[in-house]
This record gives sequence, C-alpha cells and structure tokens, in this order.
Amino acid sequence: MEWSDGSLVLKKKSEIRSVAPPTRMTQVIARTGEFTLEAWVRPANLKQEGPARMVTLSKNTTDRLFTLGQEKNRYDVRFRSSRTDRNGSPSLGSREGQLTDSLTHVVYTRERGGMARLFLDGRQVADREVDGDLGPWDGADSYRLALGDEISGGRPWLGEIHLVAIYSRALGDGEVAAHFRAGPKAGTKPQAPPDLSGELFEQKVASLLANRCVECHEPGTREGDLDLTRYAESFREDGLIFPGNSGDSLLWEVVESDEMPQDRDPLSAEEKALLKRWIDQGASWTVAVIDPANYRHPEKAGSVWVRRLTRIEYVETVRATTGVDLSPEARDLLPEDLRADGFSNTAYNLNVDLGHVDAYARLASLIVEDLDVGKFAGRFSNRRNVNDKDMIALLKAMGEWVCRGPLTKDEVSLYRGITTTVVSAGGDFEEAIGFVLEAMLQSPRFLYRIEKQRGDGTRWPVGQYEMASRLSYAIWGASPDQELLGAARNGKLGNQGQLEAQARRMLEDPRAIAQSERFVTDWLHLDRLSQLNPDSERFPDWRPELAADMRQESLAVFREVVWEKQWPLARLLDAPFTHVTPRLADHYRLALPPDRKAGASDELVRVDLSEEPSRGGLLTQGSVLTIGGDDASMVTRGLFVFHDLLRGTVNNPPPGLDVSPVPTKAGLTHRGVAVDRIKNGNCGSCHGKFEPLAFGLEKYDGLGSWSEQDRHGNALREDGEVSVPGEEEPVSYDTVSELMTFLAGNDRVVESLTWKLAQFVVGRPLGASDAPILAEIQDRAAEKGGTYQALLTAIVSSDLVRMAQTEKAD
Amino acid sequence: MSRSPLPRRTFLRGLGSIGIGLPLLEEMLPRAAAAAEASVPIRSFNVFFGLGIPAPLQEEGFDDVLEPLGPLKDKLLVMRKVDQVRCDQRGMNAHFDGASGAFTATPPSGEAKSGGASIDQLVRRSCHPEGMPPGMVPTLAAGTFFRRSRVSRYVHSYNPDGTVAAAMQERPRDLFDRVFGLVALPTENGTDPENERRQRLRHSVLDAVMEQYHHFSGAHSPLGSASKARLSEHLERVRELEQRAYRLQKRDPNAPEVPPESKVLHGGLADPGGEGIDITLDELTEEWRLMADLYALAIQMDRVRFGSITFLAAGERIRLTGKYEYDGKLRYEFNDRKERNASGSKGCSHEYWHQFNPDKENRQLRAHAHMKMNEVAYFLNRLASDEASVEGNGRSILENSLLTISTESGDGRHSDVKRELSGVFHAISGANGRFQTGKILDVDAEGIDVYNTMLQAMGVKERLGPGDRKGRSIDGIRV
Repeated sequence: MEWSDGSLVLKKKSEIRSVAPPTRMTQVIARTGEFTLEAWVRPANLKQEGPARMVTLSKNTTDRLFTLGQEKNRYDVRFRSSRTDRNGSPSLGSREGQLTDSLTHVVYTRERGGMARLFLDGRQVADREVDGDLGPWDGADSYRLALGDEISGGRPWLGEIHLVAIYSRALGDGEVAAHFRAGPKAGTKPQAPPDLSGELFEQKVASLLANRCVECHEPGTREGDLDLTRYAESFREDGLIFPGNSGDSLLWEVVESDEMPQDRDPLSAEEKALLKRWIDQGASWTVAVIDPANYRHPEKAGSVWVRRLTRIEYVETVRATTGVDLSPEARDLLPEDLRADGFSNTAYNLNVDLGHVDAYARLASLIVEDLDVGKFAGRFSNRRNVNDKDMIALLKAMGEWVCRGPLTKDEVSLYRGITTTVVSAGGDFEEAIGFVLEAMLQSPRFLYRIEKQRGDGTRWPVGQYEMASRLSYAIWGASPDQELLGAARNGKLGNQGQLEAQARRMLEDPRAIAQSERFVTDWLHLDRLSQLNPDSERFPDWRPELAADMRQESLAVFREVVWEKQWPLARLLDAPFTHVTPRLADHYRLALPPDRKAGASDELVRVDLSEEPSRGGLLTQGSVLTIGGDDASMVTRGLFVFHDLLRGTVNNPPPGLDVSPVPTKAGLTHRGVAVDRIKNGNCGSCHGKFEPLAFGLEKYDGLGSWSEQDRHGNALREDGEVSVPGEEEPVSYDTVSELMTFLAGNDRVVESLTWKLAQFVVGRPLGASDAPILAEIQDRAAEKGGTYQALLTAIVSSDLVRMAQTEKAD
Repeated sequence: MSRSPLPRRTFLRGLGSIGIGLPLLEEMLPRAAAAAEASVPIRSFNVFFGLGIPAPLQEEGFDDVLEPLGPLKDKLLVMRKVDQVRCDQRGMNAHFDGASGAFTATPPSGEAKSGGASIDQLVRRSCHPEGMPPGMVPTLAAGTFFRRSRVSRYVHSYNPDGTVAAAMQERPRDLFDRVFGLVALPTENGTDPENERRQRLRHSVLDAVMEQYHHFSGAHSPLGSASKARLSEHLERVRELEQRAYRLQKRDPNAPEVPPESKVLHGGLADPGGEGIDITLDELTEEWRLMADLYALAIQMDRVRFGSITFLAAGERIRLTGKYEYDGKLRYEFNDRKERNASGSKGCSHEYWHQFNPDKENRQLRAHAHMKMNEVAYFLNRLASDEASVEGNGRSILENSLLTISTESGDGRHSDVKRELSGVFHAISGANGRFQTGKILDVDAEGIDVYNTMLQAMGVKERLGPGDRKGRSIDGIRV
C-alpha cells in the first residue's frame, strides 16, 4: 500500500479501517434518510470478486450498512435499510463490462423515498427501490469504516482509490455530473474563504435595515428619495455605501452621528458596530428585496419548542386513537390555550400547569372507562395472554398507534412493567391494558409532538413518523391514521410526490374541513365574538345572538368558498354571497330572498350579493368589522387589513403622542379625524399607510351595520386608496366593492394568506429564513389554482414541513 | 370596604359567617416545629401594581401617596431613582415594556415572553435546584387584572427562557384550588380493599409517566434545550400531582367550603376590547383582599415560597366609583367617568397618569395611587402583623422574605422614554437581615444592578441581563 500523487494504491492485501465506529455520521444519515457514496477508483484487475470491498461500513461479511464492491467486471453496492437483509441485499449493480481498469467516478445515491441510483462517470447506469427507513443506522455502534477489505478480512480488493466522500443527502443528477467534470482532485483544493459579509447581511444586517431604516426608506415612502429595501448600483455612485470602506459611506456617517433614524431612537453601539463591520467587509447584499414583514419576529438560536397538543388537538387525537369523544369533559377540565403572535397554537406559549396534568390524568381515566378495552386491544393482537412474548408484541403494536411511532425498548419495558404490576396485584388482561393505556395517554409521546431536535444547528429532514404526524396535524388537527403510519413504517413519506398523494387523500376526509375552520377561527380570532359587549345605550338593539350569527356567517362563507366552490383562498375577500340568519340580515339591513323570511331565526340563509353593493367578502362581515370596537376605529380596522392581509409592518407610535381615540362630532367623521392625523407630520408617515385601507369601511358602524350617515348626521363615504407594502404608488378605489375586488386579486394578499396558514401549520412565527420556502409554496399553490387545498398541499410537501431546525448537541 | 381582614385562625377553623375556608389537611398545617425553628426558609415574591407612582411624588416620602406604607416603613427599604431605561422596547410605551422589565430588568421578548428570568425564579432555582419540597406549589402567580393584551402587563414571574413561570391565577377561587385543592382521584373514595388496590396501581401508572418525562427532560433526550425545559416543567407538575393525589389524602370531614365566587368579571369577558371597565371601589377591594388573604395564607402555611402577585395590570383601564375612606376618614370619592366627562377608554383613571403634571395638584392620580398603596400595604400587613406570620427567629414573614414591590414606570407621560422609565418605584423587605430597612434611599442606579445586587445578597450565582455585562454592585442597599 502506498500513496501516489494524492491517491492510495493498494498493491497487496491491506486492512485500512477506522479505529472507532463513525456513529456521528451514521446518526446523521439515519436522520436524513438519504445517502451518497462517491469514489474515484481504478481497479487493479477485472478478476476480483466477493464482492471485493473497495469501501465498506460493516461488521463482518454478512452484516453491514453499505459496501461498494467489485464483482469481476461489474460494480456492486449493498445498502442497508429496514427492508433489506442485514447484508444490505438485494444490492444494486452495474451491468457486466461496465467496470474497467480505468480511473472511474462511481456514485451511489439513495433518496429518502427509497430510490437508489448508481452513476459511472457522471451517467446513471442503474437504479432500484430500496424501501424502508434507515432505522438500522440509528445508534449503530459496532460498524466500522474500511477500505480495501472487509472488516473481518477475506474480501480484499486491489487498485487505486483517489477519493472517497460520503454525504447525508442524495446528490442530484446535475451535482453528480458536476463532480465528475471536476475530476478526482477537486475535493483536495483549498476552499475559498467564506463570504463573511454575505453571512452577516443575511443573519443580522437585513434585519437591522428592516427594523430601523425601511420604515421611512421603502418604495411607498422613499424619504430622501431613498429606497433601502433593494440594492441599487446608485448606492455607490451616491456615496451612500462604499463596500469595504465605511469611512466614505454616507450611510455610516448619518448613523454614526445619530442623524438617522430621524425621530426614533439612535442605533445602539452594537447595531452601529454591526453596520460598520458589514460595510468594511464588503457590504454584500444577498436578498432581492428586504421585506420588513419577514423580520418582524427575531429568529433566535435555540428556540425550537416542542409542541404540546392544544386542547382541540387533544380531543381530536383521543377521538382518532380510541374513538372516545371527550370534547365536553376536555372543555371543562383542560385550561384554555392562550394566543400569542396571532394564533393559539404557538408552541412556545403552550405552557403546562397543574391544571393540565390533573386534567390529563382524569381524562385518561375517563377514556379507559368509556372504552371496551378488550376490543381496543384486539385491534393490535388476538392474543390475550399476559406472558412476555404476547404482551410485548401487543404493547409494541398498541404503542405505535397511541404514541404515533414505534416505542423504544425502554418504553416497552416500562409499559410491560405496568402490566406485570397489575397482574401481580390480581388484575386481569383488560385491567392491565387499561392502566397501560392510561399511562400512554399521559406520556410525553402522546401529549407532545416529540421530534428529534438535536443535530448540528442546521435544518434536517424530519423522520418518517414525525412526517406522518406533521401531515396529520396540519391537515386534520389529529393523529395519523393507519395508512399514514404504514407509509411511515415503509419509508413512503420521503418525496414530494408521496406527500402530495397523501395530502390529496387526507383532504377528502371531513376532518380536513373541520381543521380548515379551526384555522379561520383562530386567524380571525372568532372566539372574540362571544365576548362582544357593546354599549347598550348606543346600540340598544344589540343582542348577543348576533355575535354567534356573525361567527356562523364567516364560517359558512369560508366553507362555500373553500370546500364547495374550491375557489382561490383570496376570494374570501370578495365572495359575492353570504349566509346570514334573518336576525343578522335585519341587523345588516340586508334584504333576504322573499321566500326565506320565514323560519327559525337561527337558520342560515344564503344570500346572493352580486347586486348588493354594500356587502360581499370577509371585510364586510360583522365578525371582522367589530374589531374596531363601538367606535368603528379606523386605526384598528386599517391595521387589520395592513397587518393581516397585506403583511404590512408599522412601528408603534413614538413616545410622546396622545394615542387616545379622537371622538367624532357634527362636521367631523372618523375619516376626517384620520385625514387630520395623516396630515400630521408625526403621525402621517405611518397612519398614511394603513388608515386609508379602512376608508372603504366607513359606512359600517362598530357592529357592522351599514348606513349613509353617522350618529351626528355626517355623510359617510366609501372611497379611498390602498398602498400595498413594497409598491410605490397607491391604488385608488371608489367603492367598498372595488376595494374588495382589488384585495382579492392582489398578490400581497395571497402571500399574506400563505404566511398565515403556514404559521398555523408549523405553530411558530415565521421569519426571514422561511421566506424563500414560502415564496416557493406560494408559486406552487398558484399553479394549482391558489385554493386552500393547493396551498395546504404545497405547505406540507415543502421544506417548511419536511425539514426541522436542529439544535447543536453539546 | 365591605369586609374586614380575616384572621388566619378563623380560616383554619372555618368558624363564623365568613365566606371562605379551607379543607384542612394535616400536611398543610404549619410544621409543628416551625415556631421553634430558628432557621427560616428563603422566599422571594414580586408585588406588582399597575400605573406607577410618578417620581416627583415619591419625593414626598410617606407624606401622601406612600402614606399607607408608613406603618411598615421599618420593615421596608424604599428605593428611589431606579432606572429601567434598558427595558425600553423601541416604539412601545412603558405600560408594556416597563412592566416586563419589573423584576427582570430586561426588555420583553415577543408579546408573550419576557426577556429573561424574574428575581423570584432565580432565587427559587438557586435554593431548590432539584425542585421544590413535596407538597409545595413551585411558583404561585396570582393577581387581579382586567386588561390582558400582553402577558407581561400582568404576569410577573418568569423562567430564564422568558416563558411564564406559572399559570396566572386570577380568581380567588382559582388561587385557592391551585394552592389548597386536593386532586380528586378518578377512583372512588373509600377504604374498601379494591379501591385501595386500584389507587396503588394508578400510582404506579403515575410513576411510569414521571419516568418518561424524566427521560425526555434529561441528558439523553432527543429534544433541544427549550423543549427539555418545557418537559421538565411538566415533570415537576406531575410530581406535584402525585404528591397531592397520593400523599395528601387526609381531609378533615368538617372542612369548610371553598371561597365564594368572584363578584367581578374575569378572563376575556372582563375587558374584551381593552376599553376599560366600570367597577366600584367595594368590588375591587373586596376582590383584592380576598386574593391577598389567600396568597398570604399560602405563604404562612409554607405552601408557597416564590411567585408574584399583581394589583391591576400595567396600563389598566378602570372607571372607578365609590367613597374611599382611609384611617376612618373620607379621603376621596371616585367617579372617574363623571370627572373625566367621557366614556370608554377616555373615561378611565389611566388618563390621569398620561396627564400628570408635577406643577399641578394631580388630585385624582394621588387618590388612586394612595388607594392602591393601601391595598399593597394590606397584603404586606398580612405577612407582617398576623400572629401566624411570626417565625422561629422572632421576625415576621415579611421581614424574613424578599418581597420586591415595583411597577411599570416612573412617570406616566409617554413623551420621554428616559423620564418614563426612570425613577421607577421600588421597595423591598429585609430578607432576614440581608437588606437595609427603615430607609428611603436614592439609589441612583439601573434596575439591573439593583436586582443583581439583591440576587448576590441572596446567594444566587446567576445574574440577570447579558452575560458579558459588567455590573455595578449597589452596596448601599445591603446590610
């Protein structure tokens, strides 16, 4: 054996192996489910067989994780999954004659979905499905890496090895071809120094500019004729930013001297130092547009939160797992989930208190009481014995179902311990299983969505069972069914096609409708309506039933748009129909079809609005209009449209301003108050962005009734203009229906809905690092019609759901 | 005021016509040896009141607004000129960020999180790194508030990761259940052997459950640090459940009833739009005192050593009516709506803080603040003057504990951040001889340095704020 010009030449039988098992590597590959082995090799002859081991990760001649070998004049690759034998068979090989004594680039890839491919000199020569997951790789601590022979000897290979590389992902065709073109020495070249300035920009500077500068320097405002959301060549010409030289950069000068930001706090010393370092390091600008909405939530390392089941998820999971309906008891016993960042399923805010654990214990007991335990156990095994063999088999099957993934050995032992305790106390099979079920229902594996979060600090693909749960909670708000778990077991939740097929199937289930209604309820905070308590002197006709009617109206319109008509989701904004009770129709002063006036007042009546100029779309419904309070605040309504539909950002008012609402009076409408505020130098730059969005809603009073005059007799209007964040010119509208049509067709609204649904799915606020994936999701959903179904499918099959942020192990 | 202070003994015996009582659990009684015990437990509580005391009024000492604290002055150190400017969240006013900074000295981190731990939680973790002794509530967060748009307006106990340290108990009955409630086991009560057997088996189920939480919060957990902390919290709660369910089973058959239902609205219904609520002084003080009595009782019975109590949220909006009597004399007759001649948020007492003018009389603000201090003093008195508050070393619980009293801002006017977040009222108790008392001190220091000095004196190694910050010890507050 000798080294020759960067290659290892094996002239005689040699043993080259790692001193310890490469457990870190195998762990990562197990987690990603993907693999690539790349090698540049020149066999010494065409007679070697066994296969003769070029590269192997194995224990002995019959137990391995992978092996690249030579079988006379062909290549042979064995790769282990949960569906192969211990030897990695069946293997994938080239055709006879494809192995020559020339220096050859050999690449074997295995995708998460199971497809394995073999490439020689950049060209694919063979493929096959290698089903199953990579469970055998996880925790593998007795396999070692070897070159030139089997770990236990007896399969020697002679020849030259110029390069061996192992990846925890499957290289694509293009990458394989590029690696081949780069040649065997490509990997030995020193790496170019990283672009520090680019990294700094993405991680910190873009956020700094978004939060401290863009408020005034974006396309809509362009104060000082400067737009800082996009890089412009003119920055250098105008002396604003000289890459590499902060001293000559105007941006640095005005910030350092605290001239900027104007009327806001100066940058802190740390922020200034950051800006200076970025300019001095070359001022790389790595994003097309700085969208301040992407930087609203600071992204912090180490903030990966396990998701506790929300109250409703708990109820639905119990129902799916056991068939027991616990909704009334859970509502009574489980504390409410509190809202944070716009939703009540935000993981970091799903705390746990004594009330929760007490309720979980009581509810577990109630479930077992309600359940035919013997029948339940019969779903997993026909054997009702309490011996080790039968009981362990039952516990494994039952545990996989209840805990949404296979149990570990320790968990099986723990539950087995409960059964032996029960039996030794005189209990029978059913009692033992009942207590096991109580324990499982209180376990973290049931109450939380446990995922592997340890890694290297980057995003890793989620495991198959984790993916099954992610799919089912996203689409149904409940645990996976047997088909999903089966797909996870067989490694069939790996590629986009498989995920899309599952999503299509799941969207046919009525639970998908219920989950979609939970989304719209949470997004619009419809639960708020039950707490409406308007001033009785001002609104003497108000009845609490109207609040429930408003909620039902929004949900019914949502159902029709999303599920019956399957229109693009944004059509919620201009749907030309509604569903109201006669009571709500009276409140709206809306005429019902003549034949539908009679009947119970709780019954929803569909009303065509195509000829009704005052109604049509979400913003014309009481459920949303009431967010402005009794006074129909233009600020609150405008901010809703700005934040929740246009992804606008606006800072809080600076200190020193009286933010109390200004009352209207004869001669002064809400619009008049708003216009005065917009004209005011201090307020106008921000209020000008969002208050005109509510001008079109001026004719709706605080409770959503339509009128031409306010209570002081002032005439009301419905014209206004929309400034879409990121765009330079506002768009005027004359009527409320024009406003709704504009919003329903606007890309920014579509983007906003994408971000909202995606946040609801992932249970955390989204940030700049998610933005590229969300843009992709939006495009894919648009290609499929922009429906809720298309959007949700695009989300669950995207890297937002397929990948998980990991935390670096200590 | 419609009710008088309730002596603890009355609580325990459940006598008389009072509407509150306790299930008497043997294990809940103060330890028999407590009276003779020379060492006293370390306790730390944060006492928060909404809408602060403007710094100029603090200069008057105990002469006006702080008058109700006067009788307790020997047991308190009043600190003036405490600066919380570092807690400023750009573009926000002190209702939110000042309140979040109270007891944490760090700006908030998102709408439902603080920027770091609160004082009580660092003390708790330092004294009880393995969790609290059996039967204790790890942290008790309670209080009366109506405005709930952001949690740090009303929650004042935080974990080091900024999440709330305990669920907020906002009704007296919730607090009662949290501290004194027994867990009703799913099995029937009774003494027949079958029930006992089922109880034992269910206990083994809980053991198995704890084992799993232990695994997922331990070194071999697949979870990241924040998630492990969450599972660790869950484990602590399960342990507590286990204690209550299986070890505190002896109930006095004559135990009196739980406290009466609260008379004021709570939850989202209380102030759904944040426009303020109408409330009478009697309703408010009755609620406050019930809460204060229960909280103090929980401390006296050593069920609670750490936590926070809130007297109105930061930026609370109430329209108060009623006659306020102090020391037997009519001090003020509240009628905010009428005096302000406005409804909705404009008619709330909150506005008096925005319109504070040091050159004017500020009559209404003074009356509101005085009344609030009177209620804070009521709570402190329960820990200072009750017979049950005397501990083994002859001092009262108030003197032996670290009570930190603070608020959201040093000036209600939003026009100047520095002014608004400077001079934030602070008072602390002596913590068993660790801190000066009987003084009003102009500390002229950042809150973070004051808090960290307090932590140092309490023997806590961890510090609030950024790790690389060079702190300043405020030695003047220590004995």
